[in-house]
Amino acid sequence: MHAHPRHMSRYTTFTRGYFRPKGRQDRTVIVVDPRRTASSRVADYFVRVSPHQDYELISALRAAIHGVEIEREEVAGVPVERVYELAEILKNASFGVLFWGMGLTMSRGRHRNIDNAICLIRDLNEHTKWVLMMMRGHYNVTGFNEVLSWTTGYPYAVDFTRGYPRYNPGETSTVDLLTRGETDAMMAIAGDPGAHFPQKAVERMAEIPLICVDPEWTPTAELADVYVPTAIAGIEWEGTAYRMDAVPIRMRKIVDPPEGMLNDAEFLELVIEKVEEM
Amino acid sequence: MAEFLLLTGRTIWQGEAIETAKDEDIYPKAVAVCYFHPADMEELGIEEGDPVRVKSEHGEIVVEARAADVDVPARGQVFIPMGPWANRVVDPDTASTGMPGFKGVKVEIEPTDEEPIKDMSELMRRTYLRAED
Repeated sequence: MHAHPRHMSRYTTFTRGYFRPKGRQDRTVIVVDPRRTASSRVADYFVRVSPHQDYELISALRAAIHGVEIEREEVAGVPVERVYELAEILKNASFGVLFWGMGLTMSRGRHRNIDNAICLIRDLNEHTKWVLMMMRGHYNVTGFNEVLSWTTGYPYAVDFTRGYPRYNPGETSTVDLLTRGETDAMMAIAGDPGAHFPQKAVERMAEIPLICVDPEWTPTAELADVYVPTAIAGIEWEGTAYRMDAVPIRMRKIVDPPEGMLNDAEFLELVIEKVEEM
Repeated sequence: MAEFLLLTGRTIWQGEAIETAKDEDIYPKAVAVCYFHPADMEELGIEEGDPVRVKSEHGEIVVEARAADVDVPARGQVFIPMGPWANRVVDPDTASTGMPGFKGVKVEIEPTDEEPIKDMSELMRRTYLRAED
């Protein structure tokens, strides 16, 4: 409810539809979180998982779905009876969706948590229909990943230094390049790494030439050597944004940008023109 | 001083602040804070709004203590909304995925007399540009 304020009311929980005429009453909501959150208060079931133990909980659910006996009293802070109870609910759904938050990738296990979650969904599809969707962090990050994927084959951390796209997270990902001090110049476009990268990465950003291209004054702009304000896409300029379920939406311009303000694309074209001259 | 497990992440107020203005009061009010289980605050001898020093092996930061009412962390866990304040103490290691450890960071917390920096500009300049003011 906090990270995606419109998610429950507009898309998933309270909406009424052909198969769910009573909306919320026709659905079962399970919230898994280390904290008792606002979302958990509107859920039918709240499962408090211990931090760093998502992998264990997913594995236990998979075991329970397969009818395997779990030889422990609790897994990841959740009593085993509860795990079996949840497994039954998941198996008996007519159409289930697993929405996973970014937190799964930010604690122990990282991408392996996601791998296990995908396996859980595969297992559940032996019984009924289940899909999964990631709850993305910021506006239109889905768009960035989609475009990068259909142009290079990789969703993020793409390295072009060899003349062709290469992808090796940990080696070619932004945070790692910065914390290892390999990057000697940076351009941040419509993102705010100054606010959302860990201290070691931001320390490197402060040391090297930094260009910030953003409609708003941000912590990145604060550290930047050059700040370029641009028009706001979807408000001051038309453009396409991807919805969290990867559906592209065309957005019309609704107000004029301040006079002389370029949009991101126009600015980059001017930069490329200059680079080609050099 | 007491040991806690730090989680960082979104709150509705953090979301409101970053879409409003990161260089205005609304931002530090939303993110330069640390949410506790009320019983943990009592044990530490701190009250709503008291400054606390949060230290991890990666850095430290002074923020304002708040008793969580809606999104309540478990005992022994604290929550700082994502932002440049929280990111002083998170784990920069990405375990070869590109994603740092924003959740489940071991921290030590103690009450302090030092006032938190409540201005985004000042925080960035003093911490990263080593500016005096």
